[in-house]
Amino acid sequence: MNKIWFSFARHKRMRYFSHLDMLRLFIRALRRGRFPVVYSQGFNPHPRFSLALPLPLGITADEELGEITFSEKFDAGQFAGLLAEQMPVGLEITGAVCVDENRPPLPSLVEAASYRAGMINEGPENISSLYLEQAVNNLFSKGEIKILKRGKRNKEKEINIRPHIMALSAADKADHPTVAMLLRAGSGGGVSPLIVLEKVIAGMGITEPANIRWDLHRERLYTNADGKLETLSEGMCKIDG
Amino acid sequence: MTKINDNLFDSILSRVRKPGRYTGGELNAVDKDFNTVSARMVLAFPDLYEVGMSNQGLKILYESVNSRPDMLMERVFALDVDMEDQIRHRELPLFTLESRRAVRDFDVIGFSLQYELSYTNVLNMLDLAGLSLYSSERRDKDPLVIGGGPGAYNPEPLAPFFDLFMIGEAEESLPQLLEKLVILKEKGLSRQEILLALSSGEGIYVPSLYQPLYHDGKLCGIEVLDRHAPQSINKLTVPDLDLAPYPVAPVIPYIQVVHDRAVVELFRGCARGCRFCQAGFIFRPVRRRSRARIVELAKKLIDCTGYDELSLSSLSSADYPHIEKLIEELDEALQGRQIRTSLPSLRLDSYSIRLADRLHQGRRSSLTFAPEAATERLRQVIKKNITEDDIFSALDDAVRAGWQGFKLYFMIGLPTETEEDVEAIVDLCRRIRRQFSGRGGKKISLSVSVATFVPKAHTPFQWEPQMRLEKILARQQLLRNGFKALPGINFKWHEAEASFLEALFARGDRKVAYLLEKAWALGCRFDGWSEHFSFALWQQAFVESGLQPEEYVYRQFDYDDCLPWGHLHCGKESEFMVHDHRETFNQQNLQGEENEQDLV
Repeated sequence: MNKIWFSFARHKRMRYFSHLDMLRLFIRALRRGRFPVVYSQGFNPHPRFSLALPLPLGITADEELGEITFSEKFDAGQFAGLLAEQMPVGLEITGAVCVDENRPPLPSLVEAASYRAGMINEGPENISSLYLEQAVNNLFSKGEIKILKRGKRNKEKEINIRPHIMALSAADKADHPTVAMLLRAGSGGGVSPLIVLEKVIAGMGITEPANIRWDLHRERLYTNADGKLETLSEGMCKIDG
Repeated sequence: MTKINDNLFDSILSRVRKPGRYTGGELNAVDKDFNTVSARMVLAFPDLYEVGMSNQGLKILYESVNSRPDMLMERVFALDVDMEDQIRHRELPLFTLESRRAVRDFDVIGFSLQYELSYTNVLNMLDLAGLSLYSSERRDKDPLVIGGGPGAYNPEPLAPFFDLFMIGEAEESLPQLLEKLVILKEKGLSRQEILLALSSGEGIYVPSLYQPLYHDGKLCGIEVLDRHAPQSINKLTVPDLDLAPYPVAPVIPYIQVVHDRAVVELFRGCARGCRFCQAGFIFRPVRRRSRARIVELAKKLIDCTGYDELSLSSLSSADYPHIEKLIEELDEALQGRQIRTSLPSLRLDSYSIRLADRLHQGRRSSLTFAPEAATERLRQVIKKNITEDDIFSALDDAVRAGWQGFKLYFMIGLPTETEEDVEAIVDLCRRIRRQFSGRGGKKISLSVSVATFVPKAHTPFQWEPQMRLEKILARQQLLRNGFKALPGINFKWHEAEASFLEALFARGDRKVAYLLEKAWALGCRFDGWSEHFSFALWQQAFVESGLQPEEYVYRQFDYDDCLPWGHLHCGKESEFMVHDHRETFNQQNLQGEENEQDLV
């Protein structure tokens, strides 16, 4: 058996599909390409394929990660090239690497993710990038940020998301005022970038928040190696789209 | 020409639910240059993307036109209400998925008419496209608005809105129609001249060339307004399925749609002749695809789509000759590719169970059957020829083979139906449960769905009225009470008011069109969706239009009466239909009704 990790970028219309949509897309691509994918045993065999950290709808990404197990040896570069042939416009395979079969499943390794959000103001109101910077700095300086979360049996529960925000800053980029975020994620707990941005907007005192649209983008996924964040795409052979 | 740019599109999509419905760009979707092809058509499906993308007819027509290098077909679906708000608010026109170009820029808009309760969506889509609803008000430069599908077999309620209908199976004739249209347009003919020229084609019905005549408010004839137009129209039939175009590389949706699988059609038509079933009659005669062609199509389909499920579709798949041999050959051809094969529309007999057992090796989800009626008498009336012994022995085989979940479909309001027939549904379910529960310590789960009978054009029941709404509601109550005493059986019923409307449009004439427009103007949309359906709005439309829906829904037609669809023909049907309808009401079958009269 042969386990491969691969990376891919999602642009354009590929932002509008859910995690399950993406799984279906890849699994169909693998069947079209007749890849020797290993299937689980039992009544409903599933391909041994997974994607790390679901991406919320509406977000583009530079470096998403996937894991797949084959029944025979596969050269990582060759695999990436063949898979790329099956991909639609907006989905680019960017790299791949063979990994030790005994490594823990890729999704379990993700512990943080970095995001960049461009603020697009579609309303008539004039919103200075200074407001954004202030709201971002204010939010980050708080010791506690409470939100209501619906838990089991639809019960609302108050939780503090501040510990999940590892870094937060604002910058005036070429196109739009931009927020950069590093957020905890994965099975160990975390916060959605959409919730953080909601809090940012709430702190800006805008009269019509519905006029604000975020061009939200995930940059990297990270794992924790001895207290330090590391990307999971180390050692991948790089593919140029 | 209007196109929607990326930035505007993102702004819209960030504000709607399920944006993946509108993105286009799916695998196998066409990307052709609008300006270099000679004919451009939009296939418009008046329901949500998830429903339309599950329709096999849409995929077939997409293939038949787009396989022609000189022609283009793009798609558009009904916009969900939030998307409609966005588009109207921003004053944008209805646009296609492929090129995001305005629908009104195309030469032809073809509506797929699958279901009467999507007709308000048809009007809404025309309006969103920026076109006049009425054919008579559209100009020479506007696209031709055409319709096809089962709904076109009684097109009269939609007649004023459409320029032309194609009656029957259009996959071979549609490219020819487009070809003719291009030539006529090049000649510089007016819209009405073009329509007249097209009207001589087989299966073509141009409603503006026909004038319904009324006597005492009742339809008494159809006047042909131009001597060049045909007196009656015969449906289109594809003679040989092996030679017909078939989509082996259909568009693969990104988002989950209702039926998300590879489909090979085994045969078209059905020899069973269930009297309520429109599909069983309009798709006659039965035409089979050869086994070799089916296997070839299946292989290509999996190669081009990557689907994990292959559905062998037809109106009654177990009737395909040597189906076991076919399944064997498919198994061999698709070996090692992890494909599930499924057979929809199974009958309740032991042979079907054996087939299902074979296909499901290991997997045992649930089996769906449609006895339709619970008494043998009523099943004979509707010509659903299965006996109670068939039902029990088939279920016995299924339970032995390991199935535990069963879905059963019934209808109420069938001709000659009595309250005993309705109570028999509950009783049958009770006996099924008693018989099969607890075997080997396992419980079976039963889910029962009860629809209301809608009489449809071109069936032996076309002359029959729908049962009165109050009576249907009372019979549904009877069922609810009955199933209340049977905990654990999941009982569902269809909204009776929706079925009432379905009957109105299924058997209505041209006067019903004005009611439809009124209802749309009052805000009716997605009438087939219970979360949008408002019978109160429709009742308001009845009042404002002055139309008495009961006169259509409850009308018993005589054999001599002029039927609204009487000028459209499905082959040598007329004598057969009358004969078959008479047979329904022979002495033996009528017993039930007499009993009921005794009770009154």
